[in-house]
Amino acid sequence: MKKVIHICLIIVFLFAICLTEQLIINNCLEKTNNLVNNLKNIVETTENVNTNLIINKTNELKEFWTNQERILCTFINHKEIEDIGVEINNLESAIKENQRFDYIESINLISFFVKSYEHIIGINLQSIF
Amino acid sequence: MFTLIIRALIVYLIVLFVFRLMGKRQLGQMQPFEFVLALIIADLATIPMAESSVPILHGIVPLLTLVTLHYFLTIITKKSEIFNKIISGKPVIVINPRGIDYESLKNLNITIDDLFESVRGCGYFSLDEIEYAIVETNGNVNVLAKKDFSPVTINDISSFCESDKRSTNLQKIDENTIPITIIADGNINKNNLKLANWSENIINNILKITNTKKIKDILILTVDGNGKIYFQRKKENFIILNYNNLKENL
Repeated sequence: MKKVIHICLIIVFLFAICLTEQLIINNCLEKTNNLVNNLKNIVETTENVNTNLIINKTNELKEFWTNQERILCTFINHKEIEDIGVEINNLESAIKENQRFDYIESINLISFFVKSYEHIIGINLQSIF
Repeated sequence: MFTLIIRALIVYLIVLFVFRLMGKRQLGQMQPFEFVLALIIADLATIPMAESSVPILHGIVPLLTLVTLHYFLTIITKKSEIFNKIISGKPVIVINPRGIDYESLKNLNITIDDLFESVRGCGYFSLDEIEYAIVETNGNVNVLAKKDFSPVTINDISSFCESDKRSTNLQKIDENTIPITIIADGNINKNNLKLANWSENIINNILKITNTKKIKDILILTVDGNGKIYFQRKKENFIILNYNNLKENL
């Protein structure tokens, strides 16, 4: 009987972990994607990337990602999520140098990483095999 | 480094918990699926312990999944004889009264040297001392010695004293035979039933004699070549019956 209780608890724990992981990661990646798309739209309409609006939005993205990274580290390999952090730092460098092309490239890369994480973390046959 | 120490402690406690749930079997007593599980668990545990970039959950979740799988596999193997055979295999007789069964040895991928080594480990240095040798599902070899070479028991001595006090030679009274399991954990082994030349009527008769309502209540029922039946109901003491007496009642 004791063993049955342990196994039931383990099954509940496993389901809880899986659900929590899916909810937290999907939520985080969705929000990141929205922030990145927002930045992308703004950058496409301006010539300079060192405007206050872009700086504020970039800082907002950085702050959001730094907070979320701590939670994501519980579920995802740290090395896999550090790429987004690196690209966000590249955004800041591009702002300092006012390199619009580099900024757009980094934004596109962040968008690409977010989509690929969504694909890796989601339940699909490709991830299983 | 401090993180690694904490991680190692957590993983160790979880692996300990997992092995406690798996039971108290030692490495040599493990069934093939348990051995595979032990290997995977050992590998899984080291990943989050040594690699700090890997979340500790990446080690814990597969560990707990495997222990759950092991639990269900154990239940299924207990309930289904066919599944048990698929997962764990079945004991194979490699030495019988005719000698070594070479075909069985070949199928088991055991060499003659391996067999000799195992037999010597059981305390028998000559093959002619052995009536039967069985390779169990966990890989252990068990030996049933011929009557002249098997150790003398108190039962042999008392039988000798009662039956033939004048004889100077102490001999084993009965032939040594391997008991056949007819019922294990409430399930009838149909193959063994045929092997023992038993019909369901005999089992029904045993149920009547022992006041047992259902076959499911029987923990173990074995019969050996001398007709000795070992019978035990779940959570009760065993009793010894005699097949020859049962035949008279049929």
